[in-house]
Amino acid sequence: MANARDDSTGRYAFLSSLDAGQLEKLLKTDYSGSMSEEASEEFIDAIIEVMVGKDKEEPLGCFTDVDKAWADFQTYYNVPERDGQLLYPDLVSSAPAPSQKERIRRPKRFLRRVSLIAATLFIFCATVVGAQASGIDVFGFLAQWTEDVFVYKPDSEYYPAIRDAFAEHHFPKELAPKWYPKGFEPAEPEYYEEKSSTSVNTLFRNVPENKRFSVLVRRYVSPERLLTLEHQRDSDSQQQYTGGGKTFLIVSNEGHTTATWSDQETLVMTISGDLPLKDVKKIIDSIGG
Amino acid sequence: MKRITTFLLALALAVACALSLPAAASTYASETICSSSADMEAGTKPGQLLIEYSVSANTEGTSLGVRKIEIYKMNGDYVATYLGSVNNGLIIKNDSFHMGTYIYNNAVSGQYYYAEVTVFVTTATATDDYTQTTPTIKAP
Repeated sequence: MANARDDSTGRYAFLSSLDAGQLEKLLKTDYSGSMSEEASEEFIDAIIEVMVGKDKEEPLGCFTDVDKAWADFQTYYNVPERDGQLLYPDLVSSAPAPSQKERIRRPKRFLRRVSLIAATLFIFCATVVGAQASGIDVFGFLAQWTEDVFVYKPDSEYYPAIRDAFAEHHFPKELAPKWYPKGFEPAEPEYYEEKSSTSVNTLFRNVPENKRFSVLVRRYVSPERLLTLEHQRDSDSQQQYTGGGKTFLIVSNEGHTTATWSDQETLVMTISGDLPLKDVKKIIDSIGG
Repeated sequence: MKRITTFLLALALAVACALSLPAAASTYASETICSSSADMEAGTKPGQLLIEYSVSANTEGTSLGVRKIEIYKMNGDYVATYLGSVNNGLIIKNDSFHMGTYIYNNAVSGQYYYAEVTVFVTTATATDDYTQTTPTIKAP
């Protein structure tokens, strides 16, 4: 590098008379083409030498104090005692890493699922309790399950006789109810045979209370004959009730309850008489199995 | 596709539930009669018609059964009336269910007939009648 100070009387001597701004302009000038590469490098070195000299006399602000910068780095940035650790641990801890964001989302999804399951269980329990309150002995029914077979255990002594009467006259045994309200005693099941139908009617009496009800099953020779059977009922009084695997149509008729089921082919079953609705439903629930 | 399948299954279930409803129920309310039926079948002999009936009471009836049977030709021409009694078996006492067959032997073979059957139940406090029409049957 040419030494401009040494060349104070040479071709670059004029540089000493220029101020810092002029020297910067010269540095920014593109000398390619106007002078050889070697000459341009020599010229630039001469400019820098002059600027360094002037900076020592009065700081120009364009040269970094390397020693000061190194001292600042050592003071404010360099932490040799924490080698291997994060430089700005406070900034990093406040911003969650992507994997942490996923872990936050997962607890929310889990809570949502748990809430949904809890709500479903609550509705189920409320329904069961409501059914119990309305007279349906749900828990009593459940309590009679056996380990091997899902069967409603008959708790009436009258069940075998009625079941046998059904079987004897070729009616499905499973139609025989296994539960009957206390205080009622059955008469002998009566069998009727006509050309278009056969029937078994069992009458139950509660003599002290002067009440009665009957369980009637009938088989017709053809589905068309089903239409000849008519039940009296109050208008708009019907409701459906499913129990024992059968859906009954329950109607009221001047204060009396009648429940009827049909397979829509040839079979009809009717439970009717002086029974409250809840007892009719319990009889229905005991059918089947 | 999943929604369509679900909808079709729900529709099929609704139809199945509707089809499982039992026999027709009239909208006639009665203080004494629970249910009744009336039917007609061809007999085993020429000109013989079988008129089948049943009546069920809400409670025990002092008497119940068939008050009368009126027989008509298919075109509505009146043929005959038969009144019920204990003697002819159409009426019984102190019971809640009665069922039976009345045999009519004077039909003309090959002609069509129907009957109007009036049943009743009388209790200690009330009595009620109900009339049903049988299907039309060809006399053998």
